[in-house]
Amino acid sequence: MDKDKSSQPKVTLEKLLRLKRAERPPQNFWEEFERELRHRQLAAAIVENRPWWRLFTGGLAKIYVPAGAVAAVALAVVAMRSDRTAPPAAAGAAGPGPRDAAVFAMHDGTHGAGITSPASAQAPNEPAAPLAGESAAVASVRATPAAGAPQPRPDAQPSPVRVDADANTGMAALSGMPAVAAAFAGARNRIFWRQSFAALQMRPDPGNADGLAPASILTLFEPVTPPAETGADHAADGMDGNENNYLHRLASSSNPRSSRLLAYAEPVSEKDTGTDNNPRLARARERITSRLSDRALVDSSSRFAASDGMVSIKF
Amino acid sequence: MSAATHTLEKTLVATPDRRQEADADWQIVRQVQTGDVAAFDKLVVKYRERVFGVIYNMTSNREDTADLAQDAFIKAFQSIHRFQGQSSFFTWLYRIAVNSTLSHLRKSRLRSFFSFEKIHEEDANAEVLRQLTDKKGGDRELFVKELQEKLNEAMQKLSIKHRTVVTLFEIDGLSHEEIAEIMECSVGTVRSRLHYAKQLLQAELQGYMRA
Repeated sequence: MDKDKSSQPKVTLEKLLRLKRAERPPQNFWEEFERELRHRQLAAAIVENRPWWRLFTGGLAKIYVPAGAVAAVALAVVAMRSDRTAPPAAAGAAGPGPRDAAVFAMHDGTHGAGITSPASAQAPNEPAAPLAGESAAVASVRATPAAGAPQPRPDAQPSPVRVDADANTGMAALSGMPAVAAAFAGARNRIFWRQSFAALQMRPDPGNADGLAPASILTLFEPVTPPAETGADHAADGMDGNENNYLHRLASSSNPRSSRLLAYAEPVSEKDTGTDNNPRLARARERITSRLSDRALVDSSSRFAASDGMVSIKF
Repeated sequence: MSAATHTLEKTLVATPDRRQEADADWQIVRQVQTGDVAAFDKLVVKYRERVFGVIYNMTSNREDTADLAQDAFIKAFQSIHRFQGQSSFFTWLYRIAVNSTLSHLRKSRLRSFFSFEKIHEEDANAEVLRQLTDKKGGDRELFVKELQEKLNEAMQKLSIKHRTVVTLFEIDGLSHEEIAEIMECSVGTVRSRLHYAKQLLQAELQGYMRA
């Protein structure tokens, strides 16, 4: 008996493991296997393998680009709404930090529009000279280290005037946004840039009678007020409208186009400013008067309207 | 002399059987590369059971094994135009299968469901089974099932790499050199892993070996 036991081959680990070779699926399994393999092979042949970088141009871009756009718009809306709702003092105090921008009105006499936003406001290849030639609002938007006490630009004008908190906050809110900065930075957006800042109505600063300050850019979105009301507001503020009225300064500027247009835009102030002495204005007035009195007046009568001593021309 | 044979002589222990097999595979691969897509079916039929066996012994799960084996064949089909015969086709196919399985096991390390195939006793080492059942007594079928579960449990206790080496060497019968080529490591590493894995398995299956 013991001899039989010793004569039997020993069960080794290798023999045990080789039992697993017999662990196989039944034959009908392979039919199903082949059928599935053909399906998957066909699907793999039909569906093109996309390279990894297409993930960014295709899949992820579909998600992130609209989400980013929505976020940017939402940020802009929130910033604008908070600017409207916040009281001026609180708004001025709420915007400290190096990215805040201060808006300065240049001193009288210079019509060069220097609009500078933090470093990126102007395109590198865009010269400043054409901008200075424009009769746009004279404003400067630049970064200041402490928004609570914005500093005047040291290199430019002798007596910059600080803008009130409302206007300051409005500009700060908009210029602080990357989207707005980008919009102003591109050369292609020059038209938007000029038009936006030309729309800034200059108004006197209570702290300095010689200075002018632009209103908040948010006034662009406000209903347009008639010129007479604006004049009344200025009178109510107790300011000398003749000296500080920006429109009159524009009217007497060397730019003939703006002079011509602005001279007729507000005939009420004509007598105050003494623009009769301006030969350019006189020539422009003659030219338009001749047009009004000629046959062109009949042909294009729909473009003209007269009321309360004012003539409006639709361009 | 074909490229596959040349490579085999250079890198592997090229037995005559292996050389013939590599030559035949290389011819089929050339057919597929020249546009005879249906020729790939011959390779599938030839290697499906071996590929399935390797993956099954690594995963111990029938459904995962079927998926992974199909994936391996699809990947091989998609990449066959890049196969230049620098190794034998079966080594190349095994490498794809093993890498896919390793990747799958790493991802599902915490999830392990076993679904065993039946041991075909007619294919198994009948003498070993008879020895074991004679000594244990009782129901033979129940004993075989218990042994199967114990073997799989012991295999699953090994690390993924040790399990792979044991599977390829002890169950599939590949040489150390072939395993080294498939796993892209040195022969010494293969031997070391094999030695360590067998020590662990012996400790786990001690009771059956005494029997």
